[in-house]
Amino acid sequence: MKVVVTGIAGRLGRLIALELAAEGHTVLGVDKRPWPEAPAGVSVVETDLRKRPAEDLFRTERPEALVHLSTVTHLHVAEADHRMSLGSTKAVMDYCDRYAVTRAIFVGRHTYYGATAESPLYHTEDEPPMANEEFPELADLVAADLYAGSALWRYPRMDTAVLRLCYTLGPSRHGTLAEYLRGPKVPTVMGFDPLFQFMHEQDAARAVVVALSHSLRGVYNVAGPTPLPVSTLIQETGREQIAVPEALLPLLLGRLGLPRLPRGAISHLKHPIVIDTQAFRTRTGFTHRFDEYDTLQAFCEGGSPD
Amino acid sequence: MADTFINAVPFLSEWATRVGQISGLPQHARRLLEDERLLMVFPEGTRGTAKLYKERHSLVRFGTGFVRLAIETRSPIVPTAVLGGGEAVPTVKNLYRLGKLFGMPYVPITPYLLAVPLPVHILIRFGEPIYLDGTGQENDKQVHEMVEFVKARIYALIEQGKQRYARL
Repeated sequence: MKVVVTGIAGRLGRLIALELAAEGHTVLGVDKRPWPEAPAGVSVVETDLRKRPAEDLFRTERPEALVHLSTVTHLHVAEADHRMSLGSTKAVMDYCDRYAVTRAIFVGRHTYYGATAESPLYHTEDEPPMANEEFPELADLVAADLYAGSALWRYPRMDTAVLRLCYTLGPSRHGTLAEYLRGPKVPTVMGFDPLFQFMHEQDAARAVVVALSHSLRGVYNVAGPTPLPVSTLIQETGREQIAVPEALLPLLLGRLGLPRLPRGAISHLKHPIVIDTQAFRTRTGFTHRFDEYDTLQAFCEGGSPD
Repeated sequence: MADTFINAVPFLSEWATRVGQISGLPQHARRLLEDERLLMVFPEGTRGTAKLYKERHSLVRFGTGFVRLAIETRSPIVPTAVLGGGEAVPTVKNLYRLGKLFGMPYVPITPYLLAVPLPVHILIRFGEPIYLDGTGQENDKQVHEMVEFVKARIYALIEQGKQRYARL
């Protein structure tokens, strides 16, 4: 099967491409970033998804399937990119319809649900996005997710699945959670210890490939092992927890060796975002290979990020 | 399960995470009951915790959600009376404005100021399980009647337990 993978040069994109190639699929990547060491069976077009060369790929190659990584990490999003996910999602959906793609997987994030004190502990797929007013950087991600979901009625001939992945972590040391845990000192909000849900990046890549092979339709939460309190996460990765009163935290972020975080991310350090992944597991039979401690160990033993 | 305000209050939120408390939301209750877990419900809600020492053997208004959940998940209700809570935290006044400042419903004041529980006996009395028949489509009036039935059973358990508690 010919599969287009957007965002292929990112860490998750590369892992998904390798999984697909290992299963014998032809992988066609699209990314603005290069992947010079892409293996045999994987080709990459360096372009913006909204530009002509991206559409040319669909027109000339006529892929059967699409994996669209619409995630933009919300830790370091430039102002101009606030509508990037939505714009690229709309573009690829148009290409899919025009060039008769039969299966599409849109990969979003569990942060879609937002972090609030009133939220249920386990989020199910039918819940609306919450708390975007506190975290405008997430608005693009939420809009892309909702727009991708509209493909289910807009393009009924295409099997569309929207996957809301929990945080990923692993030896690449890339991604939202890896950024947060990168330094020796990790800030938390004093008096709060939310659960963090994460899965090994290889498990995440495999989940996407499993979803593709099952021709899933609908919205599915995807997660791995049991969530852990953030204090345990920090302790197990050998970091030092710096508990700061909420009022002072925005002043200290990016200083004294603490990571830079957008102001809206503070709510994610107070309240958990935990997803119920039962529907995905039941539908696909997916099980994670790495438990929470294997995953943390893999992160600790991983190489330096580029 | 605890009131959702706990999640918003520093340190209380941390405590709730550490001990495995989850918010008192209908979704959580339904999930636990459908998983055949035992669920303890205080239908008075936070209104019940605000009772003063002199009101300790009374019952305030019950919510109706627990009855609807019991019917929908076909769960029996075991009426339970807890005596001694008022003696443990003998509240003489509740400061609602101060509570608002801390994001809490109120701050209870005891004769020794802080609402630290005293080492007293607690008597817990269980009644016979109540099996409510219904379709889940009952109107408010029907549900209220069931709620009042459960409340009366609990009140009877309290009355029966008062003398025994006094002898402890």
